[in-house]
Amino acid sequence: MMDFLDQLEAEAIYILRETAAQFQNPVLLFSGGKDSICLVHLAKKAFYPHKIPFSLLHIDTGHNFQEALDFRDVLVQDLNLKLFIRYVAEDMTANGLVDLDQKFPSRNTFQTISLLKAIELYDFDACIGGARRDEEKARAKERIFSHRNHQGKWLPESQGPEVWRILNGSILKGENMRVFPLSNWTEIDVWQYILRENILLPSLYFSHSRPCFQLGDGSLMYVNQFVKVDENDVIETRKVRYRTVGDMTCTAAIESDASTVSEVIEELIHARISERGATRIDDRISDAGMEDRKKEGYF
Amino acid sequence: MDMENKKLIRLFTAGNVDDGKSTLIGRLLFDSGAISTDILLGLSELKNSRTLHENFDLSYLTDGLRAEREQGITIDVAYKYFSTDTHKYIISDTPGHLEYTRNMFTGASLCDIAIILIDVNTGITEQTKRHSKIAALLQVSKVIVAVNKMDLIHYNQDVFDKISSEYLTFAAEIGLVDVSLIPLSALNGEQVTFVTGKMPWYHGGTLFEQISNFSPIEKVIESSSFRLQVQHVLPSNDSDFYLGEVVSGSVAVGQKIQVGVAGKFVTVDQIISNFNAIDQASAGMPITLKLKENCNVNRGSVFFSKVLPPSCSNKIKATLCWMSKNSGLVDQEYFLQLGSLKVKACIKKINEDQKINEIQLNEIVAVEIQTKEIIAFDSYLFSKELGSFILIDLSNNATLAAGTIQ
Repeated sequence: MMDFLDQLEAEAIYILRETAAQFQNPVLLFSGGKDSICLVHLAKKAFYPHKIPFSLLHIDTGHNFQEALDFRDVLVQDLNLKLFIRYVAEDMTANGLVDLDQKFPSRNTFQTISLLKAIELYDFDACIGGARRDEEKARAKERIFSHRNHQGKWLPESQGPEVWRILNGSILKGENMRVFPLSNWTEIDVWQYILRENILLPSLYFSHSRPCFQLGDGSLMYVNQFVKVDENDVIETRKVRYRTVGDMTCTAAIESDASTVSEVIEELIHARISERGATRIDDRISDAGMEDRKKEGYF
Repeated sequence: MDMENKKLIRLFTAGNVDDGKSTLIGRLLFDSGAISTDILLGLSELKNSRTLHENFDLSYLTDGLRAEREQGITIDVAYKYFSTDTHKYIISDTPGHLEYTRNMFTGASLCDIAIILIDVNTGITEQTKRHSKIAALLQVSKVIVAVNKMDLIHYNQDVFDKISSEYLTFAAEIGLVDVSLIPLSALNGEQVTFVTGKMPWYHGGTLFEQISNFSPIEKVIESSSFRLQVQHVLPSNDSDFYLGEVVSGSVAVGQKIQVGVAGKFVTVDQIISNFNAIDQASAGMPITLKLKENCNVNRGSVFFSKVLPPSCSNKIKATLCWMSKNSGLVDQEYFLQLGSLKVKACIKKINEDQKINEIQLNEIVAVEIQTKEIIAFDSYLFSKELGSFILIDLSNNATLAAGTIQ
């Protein structure tokens, strides 16, 4: 008998196999976060005993946690995969862009430039991402095969139908498909899958001590070279973990003693704040922040 | 929490504009504890034209696009999730407007349960009938008709009974089998997740109870015959690897099975799943097959057992729902995609009528389709996977229509 995790896994594998079959040059967008790590595990399973038929692409903002980068490099080596890295800083320089003069100078919007550049340069026709519909309300609207026009734009008002399990991956030259195998997974599903499959994660996801200062909503910001600390910030060492792993400039930690996957699941069952709400400073810009970024070509 | 055998159930809500679909989903999520505090705070800060006399506008949970919030309507499907001890639920909140029927179909096509809303003040409308017909076309296992806004008519039984008998007559006409009607108020939650005794005359339980009590029934006819459609072929030293999901039945190592429209007999040499070689695989499992024989099998080909083989033909009788502004034309060439199979095809006849040669947006019609080559398929009744297809525009790749095979 298949339980819901088997069903979610089967759906993701079905999507990954369709992607491998329908596209010439698909790439897996790898961030070093738990969702893309799960994607890699699912891809391993989908094509075993063959190796994963995709390369990985990392859009490196230069603001990554070192733990996530180290984890990425070990994983790529273990699986003998090709990793493309596109450096946001280089594209910023080329376009005459400079970091925002802010307390938390996020390079979030600049990532889109680098992503679109990499797609064009390497001729990727499909980009597989770990985004989930439960993360955010604009994402809740998105198809599994999500079409991007020749400018990389998502046009939410004119999404085509996607019926039954049939995935129409036909695109014109210059267009791109974003593929989301984890569309129907929730945060807790991902963690339960990590537990069941014994998937290794960067240490950031588990309780550790870190010098932080507290933000208005109680979340904790790691004191690092990219964040502007001022005299009002009270720095103290706290026991924290990350619920999402993004850039050091816009990802907050939460206070936590959870040091194993089971303990994380237990913590999440009782959590009253959503995943992105707890951690993503960049999402708080406006009510349509994610939708607007996606329309421009964001992940 | 008992993780073993916790199953996935998909349900959708449909109905007229302003029947309160999004509010009902908001209510289900809210009362089942699936909404986080920060999301609730976000709701209280926002306002739109749909805000009623509530502190929170629950429709904001599912109307995730800027255009939807500005216009106060649902344009596209929103997917939301909640869990109980026995099931994980995926809810598709589908749009009510006629012009967004394609999005309603998208949200509904994989669902086990349909929740069709009726505003008790307006009663059954054309759109109610249309959504019910799509539910019938899709053969959704269970239809729950939520007669909403009972609070506005002081929970009057007579009005509900009248709508109820009218709907049941209609449901029988279009062939809906498992139908129940439930009076409720999405706005204040009455009969959605709790009962405060405002309708002592109704004994069918809450909407939440009706959803919880549903479990999918496996069709006996399906389980007796093996099907696997090849998604992808990967080379190996001797015979190739065939990647696909067991659609129905089961398959074992050493078993003689057939493949392709010619029904060639082959022997299963290896089954790989979950990083392991296994002896047997059953419906729903993604597997990799290896055969004893060296033969040429392409993506889209179907492996099957001798018992109840699929139909093989270049002529298909189907029901089509047209989803594009560009009308469907007899004899025009399209791509037909059935699972992972893609072939060229033409519509040859519409509604058994030689004079009709065009299908308009949102029409549901019976058609005869001719494919360029002979393909393997099942009736939709037998297999949702091998009995459904889409038509694709040859020039711009748009999905034009969804079809179910008779």
